[in-house]
Amino acid sequence: MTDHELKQRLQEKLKFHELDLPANDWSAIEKRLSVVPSRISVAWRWAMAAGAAAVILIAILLYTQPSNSLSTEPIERHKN
Amino acid sequence: MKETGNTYDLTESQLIDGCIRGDRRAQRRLYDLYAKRMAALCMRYCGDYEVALDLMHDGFIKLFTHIESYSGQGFFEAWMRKIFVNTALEYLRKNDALKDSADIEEDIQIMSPEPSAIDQLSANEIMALIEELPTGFRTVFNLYVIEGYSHAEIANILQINESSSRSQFSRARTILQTKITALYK
Repeated sequence: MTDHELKQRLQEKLKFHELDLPANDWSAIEKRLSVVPSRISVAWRWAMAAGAAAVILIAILLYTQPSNSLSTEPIERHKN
Repeated sequence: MKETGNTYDLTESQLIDGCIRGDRRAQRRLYDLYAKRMAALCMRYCGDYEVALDLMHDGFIKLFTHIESYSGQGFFEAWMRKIFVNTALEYLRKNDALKDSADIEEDIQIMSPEPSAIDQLSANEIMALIEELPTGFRTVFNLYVIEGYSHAEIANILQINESSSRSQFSRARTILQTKITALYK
């Protein structure tokens, strides 16, 4: 028998062969799925964290900007 | 978690979409469709029922967390099988089960089982014979015969020489021939 024939015969027998499973087998997977965060939610969490960090950084930069460094002198001089 | 109504009416692509959304019922339906087959696949590689169940579970977790990377091209089951085969191979590598026979390269006389003998055996009987093969031979045999990989591909997957893959397959085939012959004596 050639390799090709052997492959064909064994594939026919085994490729779609099924193993009996315990009755509550799915629950083991379901339990693990509930603790695995979905990749989308992880990506969203990262995006939200990055957004929040950017807002805080901008707020800090604006707050620490020496606002009184802008001279009001010309305006006052003009008033006078 | 969103859940669809009757998942029995859904097409495969609708089920895949459901799984991408994390729909538990779609995931359950996909499991119902393929779990027994994937468990048998894992069993062929590891040869132990409990380990096969664990590998099947790991495979489904990987499948559900990476299902969005399925491009939609080619058969879904073929894509799915690769995940389970890789999961089983990872397990064998972790346990150094592939180490023993990685360097076998010498040629041996190839004996081939009679076609009629194979036809007379049930799937369970053939599974039992394959499970008795040494791990390295069994792995190459499964990849070549059942999954349809070439020896070049197997060499790449297992990080062995192509000639090593060929000789391991030949040995596996000879051992099977001997066992099948013994069954009919």
